[in-house]
Amino acid sequence: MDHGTFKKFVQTHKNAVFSYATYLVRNRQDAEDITQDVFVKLWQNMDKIDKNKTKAWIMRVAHNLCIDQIRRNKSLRSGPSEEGNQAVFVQNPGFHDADPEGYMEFREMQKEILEALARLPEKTRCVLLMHYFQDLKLDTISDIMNENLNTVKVTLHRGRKLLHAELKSRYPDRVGEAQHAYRM
Amino acid sequence: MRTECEQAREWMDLLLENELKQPEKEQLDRHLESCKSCRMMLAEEQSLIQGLRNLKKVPCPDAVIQSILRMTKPERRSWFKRITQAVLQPAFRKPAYAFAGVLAAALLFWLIPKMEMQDTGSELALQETVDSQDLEKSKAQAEWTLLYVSKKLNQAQEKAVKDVVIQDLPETLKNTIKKTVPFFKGGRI
Repeated sequence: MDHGTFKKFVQTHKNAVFSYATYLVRNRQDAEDITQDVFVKLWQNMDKIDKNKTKAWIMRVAHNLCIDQIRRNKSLRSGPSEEGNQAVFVQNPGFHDADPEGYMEFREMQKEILEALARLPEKTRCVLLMHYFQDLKLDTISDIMNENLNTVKVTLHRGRKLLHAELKSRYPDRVGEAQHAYRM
Repeated sequence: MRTECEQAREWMDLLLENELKQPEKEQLDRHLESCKSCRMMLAEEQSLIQGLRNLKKVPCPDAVIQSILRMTKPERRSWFKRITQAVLQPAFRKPAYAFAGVLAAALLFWLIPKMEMQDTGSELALQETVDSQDLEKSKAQAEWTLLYVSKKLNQAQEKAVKDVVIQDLPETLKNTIKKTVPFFKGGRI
């Protein structure tokens, strides 16, 4: 991969890596540092990486760096920071102007999911984000996390139940809305 | 004994992962039509997954991208480095090593006879040098011998002439020569 191709690759995957890091470490500055480290490492190890598995490779590096950062942050402060969630909600003028009410609801729902996610165990959060948000297959996740495929499946299943329970306990109205939507 | 709802929840998990087969899906649909609680459960889970899928992709700041591109900017490489790096790409590495090995072996086979020939040549050159030195020496010796012989001959000839001349001369002249010619030893015969 020459520098031109690398540049295109960075442009394609920058938001995926940055979002994953932001949602996982919940600190914008840390997420920026992690994103930078991921792509610099990719450039340095270009010769050793299988071209068909480049996305999985960057996600593995991002995941490992996020876990390291979470552990470092845990040793520095107690409890999760709210900064990450605040940093996530950047303005989206088009959406905001067209449907301000819908935008507010969208923001509110994202906030609730992120807050519930933040209360889940680290491994569960990673599996949920990688599978649903990053759209990675379960066998790829098992490679990235160096875990057995069945363990990943079980973690995903339990993660869904835990997240559901967390949301239900904190926002019973929101769950009611889902039921209402289904009936409609 | 497993209830119908427990079986349906298991199928729902498979459905959410797109792993449920058609016959089971039909059975689940039939169950959902009659079971409100399972229907609600499925709706909630689907809503949750949709929420996770729709989480907003956070745009990465341009400053981060600029920093990455600055840090990975390739350095200017010399033509030698460029060629070696191109040749030693992982795909070409093994053939390149094999080619280098064959080239080295060929070079050795080509060089060894050359070196042997060079040794023989140097011996000949040395021999030639030794011969020319001997020749010069012999020449000098011969010249010296020739000079020596000619000198001796001259001396012998001179003595013979003197003897003959002196013996055949009359007594009076001999006496005159004795007195006047100084080149005899002691000035006298």
